[in-house]
Amino acid sequence: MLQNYLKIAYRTLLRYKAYTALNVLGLTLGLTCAILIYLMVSFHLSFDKFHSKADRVVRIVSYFNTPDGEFYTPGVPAPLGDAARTEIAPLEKVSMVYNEDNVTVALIENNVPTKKFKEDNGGLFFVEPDLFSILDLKILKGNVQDLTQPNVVFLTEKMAKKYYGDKDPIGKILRLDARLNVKIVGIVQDFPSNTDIKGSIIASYLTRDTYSPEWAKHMKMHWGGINSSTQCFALLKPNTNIEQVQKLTPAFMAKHYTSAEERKSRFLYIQPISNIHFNENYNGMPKSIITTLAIIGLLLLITACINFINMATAQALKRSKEVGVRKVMGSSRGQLFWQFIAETAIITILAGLISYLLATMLFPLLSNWQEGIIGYRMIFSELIDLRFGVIFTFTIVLVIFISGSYPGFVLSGFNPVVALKGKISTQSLGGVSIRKALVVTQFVITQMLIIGTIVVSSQMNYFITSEMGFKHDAILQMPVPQQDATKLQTLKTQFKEIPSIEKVTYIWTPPMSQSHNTTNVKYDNRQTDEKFSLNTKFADEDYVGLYGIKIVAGRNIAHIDTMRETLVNEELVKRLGEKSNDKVLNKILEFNGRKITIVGVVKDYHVETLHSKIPPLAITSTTNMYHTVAVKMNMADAQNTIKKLDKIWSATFPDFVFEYEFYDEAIGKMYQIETAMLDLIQAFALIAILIGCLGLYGLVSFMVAQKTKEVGVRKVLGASVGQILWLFGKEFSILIIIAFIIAAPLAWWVLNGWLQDFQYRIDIGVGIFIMAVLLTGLIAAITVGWQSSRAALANPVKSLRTE
Amino acid sequence: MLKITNLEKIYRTEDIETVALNKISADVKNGEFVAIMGPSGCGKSTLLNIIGLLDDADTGSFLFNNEEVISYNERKRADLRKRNIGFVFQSFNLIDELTVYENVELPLLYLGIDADERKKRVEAVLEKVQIMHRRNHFPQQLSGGQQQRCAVARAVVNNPKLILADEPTGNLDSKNGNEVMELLTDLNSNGTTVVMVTHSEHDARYAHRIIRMLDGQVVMENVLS
Repeated sequence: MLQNYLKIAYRTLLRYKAYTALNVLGLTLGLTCAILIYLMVSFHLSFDKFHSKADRVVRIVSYFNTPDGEFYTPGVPAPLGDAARTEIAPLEKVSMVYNEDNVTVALIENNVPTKKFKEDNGGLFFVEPDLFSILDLKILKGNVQDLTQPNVVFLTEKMAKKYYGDKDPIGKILRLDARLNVKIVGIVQDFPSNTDIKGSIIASYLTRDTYSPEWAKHMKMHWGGINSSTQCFALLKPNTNIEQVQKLTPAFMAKHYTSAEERKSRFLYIQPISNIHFNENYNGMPKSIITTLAIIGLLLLITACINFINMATAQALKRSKEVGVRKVMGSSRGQLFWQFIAETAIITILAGLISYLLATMLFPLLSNWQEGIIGYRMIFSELIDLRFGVIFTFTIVLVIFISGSYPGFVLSGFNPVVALKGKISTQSLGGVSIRKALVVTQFVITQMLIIGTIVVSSQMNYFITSEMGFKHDAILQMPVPQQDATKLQTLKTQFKEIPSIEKVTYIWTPPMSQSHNTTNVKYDNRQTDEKFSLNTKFADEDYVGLYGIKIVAGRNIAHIDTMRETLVNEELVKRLGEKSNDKVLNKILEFNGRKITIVGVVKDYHVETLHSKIPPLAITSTTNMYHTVAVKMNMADAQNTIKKLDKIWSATFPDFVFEYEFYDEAIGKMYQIETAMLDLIQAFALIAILIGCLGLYGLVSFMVAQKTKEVGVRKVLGASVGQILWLFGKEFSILIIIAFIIAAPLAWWVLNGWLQDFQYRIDIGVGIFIMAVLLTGLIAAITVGWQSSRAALANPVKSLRTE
Repeated sequence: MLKITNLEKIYRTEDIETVALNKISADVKNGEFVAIMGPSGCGKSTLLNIIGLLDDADTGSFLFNNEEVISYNERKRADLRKRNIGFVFQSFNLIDELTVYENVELPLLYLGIDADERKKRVEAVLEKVQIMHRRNHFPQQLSGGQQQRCAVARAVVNNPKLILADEPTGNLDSKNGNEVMELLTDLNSNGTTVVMVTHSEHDARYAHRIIRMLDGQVVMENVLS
């Protein structure tokens, strides 16, 4: 019997090729997206779960409770590691780590650099030996105890290969940032792609002292400062729970912070390793993007299933005779039902196989795209596991039943007498209302995705075009690897001699950036610190001019190498409680342990992305904080100008690798998560629309076939082509409007929630909704119009004869 | 074999009631060949459908082999149908996607008969209706006469006790029509009961008895010699 089902299914599918193709295509699109989304979601959910002691691994992180709200950082004070090791009993192992993102590495032969490399993605990773007991890191060569020495590093396999090819790197010397020689003492296995804790050059933690002598001198024993890259990992003793450890932290902090103010504001949080990837407070990625993706994946699958149901039910009319005959021959309703499930199974399994192949082909694109935006590379083979197999099979079976059972139910319920006479009508296809509801659901999904696309792209556009309070075009930024005052002076002079360079400034970070330095501040002769923290920026006297920042009171800072004069923003004036900008001029601002004179006030500009409010800000000069040189250039001959900059820069810093970035691009990168979200929503909205169109097309073809006679009669009676088209258009217009009524508030609710993340945001206006409904209408009109115009233009004599 | 008593069937729409069968009573004996005649709309097809358990009556009694089947549910009807009744239609009603062989095999599949036995029986019946040579053709590749012979083969392949034929020659020319009537007569002479609805006086003469209907009632019965 099964053979008979399969045989007839195969022949039916072959006979109605267009129908089969549309169905397979729709399902394939939905399934392919679902597979890709599943892989991406499961990749992100798998982060750092592979460590064998993952349930006991924690990261100790900090948060501050201030009058401005809570502040979070994954960093801890540098001395915390040693203190925690001895004072927090439930910790079995503790390792401080420090990640230096930007490092220039030179290979040294006979004390001479031979090759230079710029390692800028999680390059240099300082760790204590205990990290190897906490995490599953495998040493391939060398001894972990070597990490108790200063100036030694391990390389990952990949880096060893990159630097030395197949040669043995053990014993070779590397020079870091042209100032410190280190010896390679071992090789570690490459870090897997799904970890947030990684590096490519693993240096002993003691090496940090020699790498940054300034840090060793000032910060190493200092409990006051926190750098977000100085982190602490620990392994809990077996049978200890995190809450127990968390309860010990207030006493621990009280021991190291003596002032009441600090004790009230500084806290530690014991973060489970499983929490790292998605905790936005501590620089994790927003889980919402993964949830959104999963929901979109599900919606796409639903759309594809609805498509299938609609087309299969419409197609059912052509099968009515067969159903009648089979019933007369003694088939039970159940047997017929399973027959149609078998047919659905064939289509679904076929679509499933094609989808899997498509997904393997598209996966590298997705992986590259993701790596480009958020820097994570996914490996296909690592993600295809037993769980994938089980879920994939389960999904296919589920799709078969969801898609096949309704048409099967309807078809098997035909009255044989009516079915044999071919008098099954649309009405008897188990309630038009169900199919209308399905079409409405599809339109709801499509419209929500369209509204989502419009809102997200409007907000993105708002970011890019909104007034940030400073200029950002035609500004090129290069690193400053060495803060040597004389060198910097010469470099600036040389840069200015290039005719296409208009201005040059040294800065720590540009006006809007993701690195911030915040500190306590004392004003004038007030006795205590202000209740807010101060955002500080370091820049020379050309900063305001180059970035077009407006001075609204006082004057610009003078050319001084150390912190003596500062500019402040209007927000600071307001927060200090001064009535006018002039009031703060020549008053003293005390921060970073120095007393600095306020010489001018600048108009507020955005310091962080539009997610955040403009904070109180001070801009002061100090050469040893200049990490970037920015130039305003004439873009007419940009390539040539960059070449000239490269030449001068490389001559000034011969041990380093020249690199540059346009500031506009850097700003774009600050919205990478939003960009990613927009890309995804756009792509999936397009696919959802496409699937929806396939379904509509199928449905309309069916309607056209049904109404051939009606159209013929109407034409004979004098109906125009337009009136005939409206016959088909009317029904869909109503459905679109019903869908809109459901989709609009739903989309508004979801997107309004999303927009709340931004301090500066667009309003979701009526225009957006009108645009969405018009767009859906247009898409539907094109799909419906094409098929129905064929019916409308057909010769009525012919269409009547076919009846 | 069949005994119907006071059978009533009314088709209702919102404001019209159409009486298809008006308290009709009739019976058919084992081995009989009965023709039902009457003008269009007199209820003969409805009667045939009820006898074939494809449709149900509103009131009345229907004994099939002395068993009351009027209250049977869908599953029991399907079961009774596939074991006892073969159908022949005016428009053949072969499944286009199946070959001649597969069409004829279908009732045996629903009876759960094993493959070897199926093959034997299908081939035997195809020989009998003389379309063995077209066994692998699809219905649309056959002439009308061949299609109806195939349909007859399908109707008898499970050795039913009763064959219901609804205008079996309606779509055929006289030569092919006569062949089909010969087939039915042949089957009847071998013991199968045949009930046939027809418009054709010529075809009706093959029967033992003619039941004439009008407006849902039996108006006359002719017994033929």
